[in-house]
Amino acid sequence: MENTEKQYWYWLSKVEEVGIAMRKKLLQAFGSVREIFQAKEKALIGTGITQKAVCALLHPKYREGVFEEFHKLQDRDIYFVTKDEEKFPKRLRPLGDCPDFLFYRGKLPPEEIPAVAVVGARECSVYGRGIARMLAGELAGAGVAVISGMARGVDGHAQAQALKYGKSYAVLGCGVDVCYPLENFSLYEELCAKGGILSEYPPGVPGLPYHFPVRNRIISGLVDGLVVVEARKKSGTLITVECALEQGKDVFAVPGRIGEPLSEGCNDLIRQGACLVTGSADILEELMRHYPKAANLKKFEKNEFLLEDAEKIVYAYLRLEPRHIEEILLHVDYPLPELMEILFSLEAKGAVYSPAGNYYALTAPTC
Amino acid sequence: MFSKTYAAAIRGVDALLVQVEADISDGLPGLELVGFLASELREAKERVRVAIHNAGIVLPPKKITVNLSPADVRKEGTAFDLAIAVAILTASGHLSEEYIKQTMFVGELSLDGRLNPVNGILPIACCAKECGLVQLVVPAKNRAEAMVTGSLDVWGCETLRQVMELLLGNPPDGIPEEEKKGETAAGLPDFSEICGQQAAKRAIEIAVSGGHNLLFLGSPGSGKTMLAKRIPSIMPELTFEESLELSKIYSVSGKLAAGGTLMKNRPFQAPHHSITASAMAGGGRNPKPGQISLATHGVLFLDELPEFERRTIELLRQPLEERKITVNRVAESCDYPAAFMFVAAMNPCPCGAYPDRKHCRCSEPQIRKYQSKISRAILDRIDLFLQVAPVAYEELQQKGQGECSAAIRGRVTKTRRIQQERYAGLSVRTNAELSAKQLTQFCILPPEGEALLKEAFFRYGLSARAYHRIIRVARTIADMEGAEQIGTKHLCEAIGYRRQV
Repeated sequence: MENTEKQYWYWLSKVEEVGIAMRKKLLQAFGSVREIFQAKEKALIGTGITQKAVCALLHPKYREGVFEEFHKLQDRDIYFVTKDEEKFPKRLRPLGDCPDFLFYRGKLPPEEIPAVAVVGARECSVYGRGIARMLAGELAGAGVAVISGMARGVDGHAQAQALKYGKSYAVLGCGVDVCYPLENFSLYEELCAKGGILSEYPPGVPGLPYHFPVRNRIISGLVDGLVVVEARKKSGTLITVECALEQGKDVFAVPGRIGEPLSEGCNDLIRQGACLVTGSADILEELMRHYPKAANLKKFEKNEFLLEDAEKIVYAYLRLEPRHIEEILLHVDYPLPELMEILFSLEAKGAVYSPAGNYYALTAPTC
Repeated sequence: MFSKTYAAAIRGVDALLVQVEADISDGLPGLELVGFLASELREAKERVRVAIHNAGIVLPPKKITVNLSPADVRKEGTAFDLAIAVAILTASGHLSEEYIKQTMFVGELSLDGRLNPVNGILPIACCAKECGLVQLVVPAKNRAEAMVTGSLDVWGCETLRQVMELLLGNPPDGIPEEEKKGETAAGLPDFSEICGQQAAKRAIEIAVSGGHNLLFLGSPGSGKTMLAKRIPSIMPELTFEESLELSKIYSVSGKLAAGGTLMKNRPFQAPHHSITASAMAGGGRNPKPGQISLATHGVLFLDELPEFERRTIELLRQPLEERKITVNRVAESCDYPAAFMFVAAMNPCPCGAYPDRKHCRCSEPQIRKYQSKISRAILDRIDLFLQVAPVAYEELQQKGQGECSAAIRGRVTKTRRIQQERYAGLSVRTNAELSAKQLTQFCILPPEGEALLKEAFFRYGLSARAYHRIIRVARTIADMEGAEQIGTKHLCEAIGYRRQV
């Protein structure tokens, strides 16, 4: 059986020494990937790519069994799509550095619904966690696809919450069969089942540090708007913002308190003109302006907790930042045992959670 | 001629009756000592010979053989000197066998015939009493300690000569009655010195009331150590049995205050984190009780828990469950009691500020790694977890005093009494000691309580052991209120103290 162009693409995807720029050069010189595969050393050198890349292209370790491997991909629930195919995400096509191919598990983000990226610091605060969850949950509930990087912190929290109410997709900096970070394994599995996992790296590639900045352009490319929840002054998140701006996407930022290091990046963005976000409505409104189909987005129904009087009093004192039980005790007129009982039932109702030890925080803002 | 008298060997925290036999017969003059002896005991030969000589007694130039029986038990220490000397003197006819029949002799001899005090007098005295002996002769400095057991005639002597006089019917006079110097409860730090920290104080009160284990988490300077140091001040007074058991341990390790009698205060052991596993558990070539045994009926406080060697922490598993530790050595294995209340303190993350993200920049893997230094097995054995919040400036400024230790102690004693009445006739003293089977008997949960526990079980991913611990703590909380039945609010509070970071 004759090998198809797609199979040759799979071979080329595995040659890690050849990046996007070199692939472009090679395609210009040879016309198709099949020609590249069959090219002789001299012809390859003639295109002006590096010696290392030439060696890699000819190296048997990439060639042996590569086509059998390609056929086995589907058994492993891994799909491969090249730029030439119809189902390749249209949003990515206009990018200057559009990936030539994508691997994915689950599904690709649908073209017809708007998508928003929710990104932010990995070591986020409890406040950041709450906001990320609130925004992502409400956006997903309204029918927006929430796209992020499945990293720890804001990314993971946002996606976990989004999956509860709607769709979410992750773009990884490693192979789609690699779960990085490992602690998000349950999220990873859920994304495979209910959303999708995308990557431009072939299966088995570990998450190397330089993959992540490159991967960020795909996140911003796939979405119509980018929400930054928490970012320090020098944050990797700001790379995604740059990509989004280059690609002409809307950038939203969640404001933080002055002097809060985790919000400095966000506040800087607002100063530079990013759209200030205080709720999912801000984002939805903006989306509707640019995205006609967004008009049929549902308004997110805020779920109200049914609280008893005593619970309301304690609930009213709690904030998104965690408060220690000692502090609550000073401001609420209940003895400790009773307070613990109230907090337990608030927790059972999902209104409050305990991020650490005897600290308690709201799961969502009260506004 | 043959003679026999008694001494005792220390094994673990108890003493074993040893018969000291002497025989004088014809043969090459000399002193032979047999009976599985440690080297310091073999040296007793010289000490005894010279001490007898310096007491002005001339031994006949004959072959003297001394045997310490049972001869298959290894004997250590210098406490046998006096018994050996007395046995020889009897065999040589200087003393009558009548005098020594029902008497135990303990003490180390100096070359000039003076008697030096030894360790472990308390278990030895208990052993003498149990074996039906009526008299005990000890060095004068050990007399107070030996008197504790009562019903024994205890004689304290300064020299070998005095011992002989005593046996010949002239009890030594002029020995001042040692004033009982027992330690006083005064001088312990008090809870009234601690500002705020109501939740922490409450958790401590619960822990002490039911004998539960406690772990403090909190940033540096939030007062974890301060709180822990005050725990002994609210613990109920030692009962006589507890005090006796504890004093035995201290007596064996030579830590009983000189001239003191029984331990009056509950111990507070806070070993530094550089401690080795064997110092913690007890052992050594001549087994000695470790820190955990010295903390019996008191508090074992491990500050900066993750800094301890992993092995050192892990060896706490057995004592935390069984309230004793078995130390195995080449020659013997012995059980030491280790019924302590375990209190530990640690920072929640390497920098200590978590969950305050303003100051804590530790990454989540770092935090996890730090906390995983304590194994789940140990965490499971802890009943109450408490995150101690940093004290606010306003609270520091408050001059108003908190509740004093005496008031809390009163409540604790009351709660303990409720438990003792409930568990009368059982080996259990506190709620923490209840076995899983006894839980079903004494801790009946209302249906809504069961539902609540079920929810918590799944929400927090509890283990079976943690589940039982929650019920035990809830029992204690109910007891503190004087409630017969465990209610949902008791369970809620118990669960509230089981939050790990």
